[in-house]
Amino acid sequence: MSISDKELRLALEVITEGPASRIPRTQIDRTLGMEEFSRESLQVQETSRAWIQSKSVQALGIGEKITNGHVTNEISLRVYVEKKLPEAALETIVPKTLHIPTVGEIVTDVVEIGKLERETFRERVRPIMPGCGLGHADVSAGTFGSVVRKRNGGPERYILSNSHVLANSGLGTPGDPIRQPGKYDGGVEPEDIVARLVEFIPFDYSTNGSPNLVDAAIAEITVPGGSARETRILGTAPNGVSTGLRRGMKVQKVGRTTDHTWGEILDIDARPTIPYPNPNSPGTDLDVRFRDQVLCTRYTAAGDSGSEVRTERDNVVGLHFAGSASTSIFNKIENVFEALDIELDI
Amino acid sequence: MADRAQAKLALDQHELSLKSRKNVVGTGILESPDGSGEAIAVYVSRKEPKADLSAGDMIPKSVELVTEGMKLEVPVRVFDVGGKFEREKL
Repeated sequence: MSISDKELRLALEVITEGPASRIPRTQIDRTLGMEEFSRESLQVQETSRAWIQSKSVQALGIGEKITNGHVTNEISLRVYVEKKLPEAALETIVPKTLHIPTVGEIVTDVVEIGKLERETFRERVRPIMPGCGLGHADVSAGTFGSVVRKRNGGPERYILSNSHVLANSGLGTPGDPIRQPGKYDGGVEPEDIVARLVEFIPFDYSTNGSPNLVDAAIAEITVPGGSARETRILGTAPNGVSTGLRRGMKVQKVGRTTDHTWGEILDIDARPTIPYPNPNSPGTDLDVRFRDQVLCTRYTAAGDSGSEVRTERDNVVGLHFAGSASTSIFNKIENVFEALDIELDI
Repeated sequence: MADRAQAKLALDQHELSLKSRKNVVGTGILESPDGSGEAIAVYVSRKEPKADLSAGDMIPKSVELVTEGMKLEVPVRVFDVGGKFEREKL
């Protein structure tokens, strides 16, 4: 007889909570009676504790049993582990089946999911790494895009992100400190200073045509230990740069707010108008007109600004900076690298 | 039928006029609605009923590209992006 989702939820409750399980009283009365249930559920809880609390088990859950990579119709108790190991290497073995009072026989399925970790992207992370949150003291928070160096430059390495993340949209001054995490996420000075603003591309506020190509800035990495080259979550540095964009292409990014997400390119010739702080009149905005931008389906949110945009093959194609309710926009990487005279450091 | 280079030229010639219309937040280039060649994209923060738009705010179905003595009609596609474009800081 196959077990339903509902019965497995009861089983999961019994395994972890024992006699304190929140099982409907009617279900207990209809099957074993309270006294017998208390005795048997305590036994299940105690015998299960050994494998549930073993180092390799990270979580329990419910799902279709996966056999040889195929999802079957059988609902199982999922046991999530970092890595599947041979039985000989285990201190305790997860039983293949379990008898649960009021439910009956259930099957288990050990599923490998990698190490479960607290998400650190909005928090302090050392070494710093592309994909984590950071920002100028007058900016809430954005994202660390790529690690770059000057073409024909020295040993200095830089964080590439947006001007509106590292330079407060051009209101900042070279030398200004950059915090990781950003101010919004609790970053303070001097403890969380990881870099110093070096250069930003000033905006042209002209209303004649669309003169702007990038919202970009670099900050020299000063934190002891420097920066990892591998992007958070992906665990890989990009392979290189690609300039061969076309509509319909899939792109990905890792950002402070929405982590790893995918979008699809809609337009590679977009000319959006986007408001930025007016340098001559604090508190008011001025329109900045961009050309040669890449408009995508929406795959980002506030705080993802500065994210490196990659192709499916992990080549860098852009620097994410803006969006609307249903779109996301990035600067083409060749325009960014040309404006700042930089290249990837990989 | 316009190719991408022609659509870009048409955009250069008509950008200012298109961007001065109500709710327009950007322009660009998309595939032509009938699938043949390229079209100018006009990105709007929201679409409004024709009745609520003045004649000057209506977006034309196509624009004329004048180049080297020849004329070409380039189609225009209105694309609702769901709001204004904004920089994505918190």
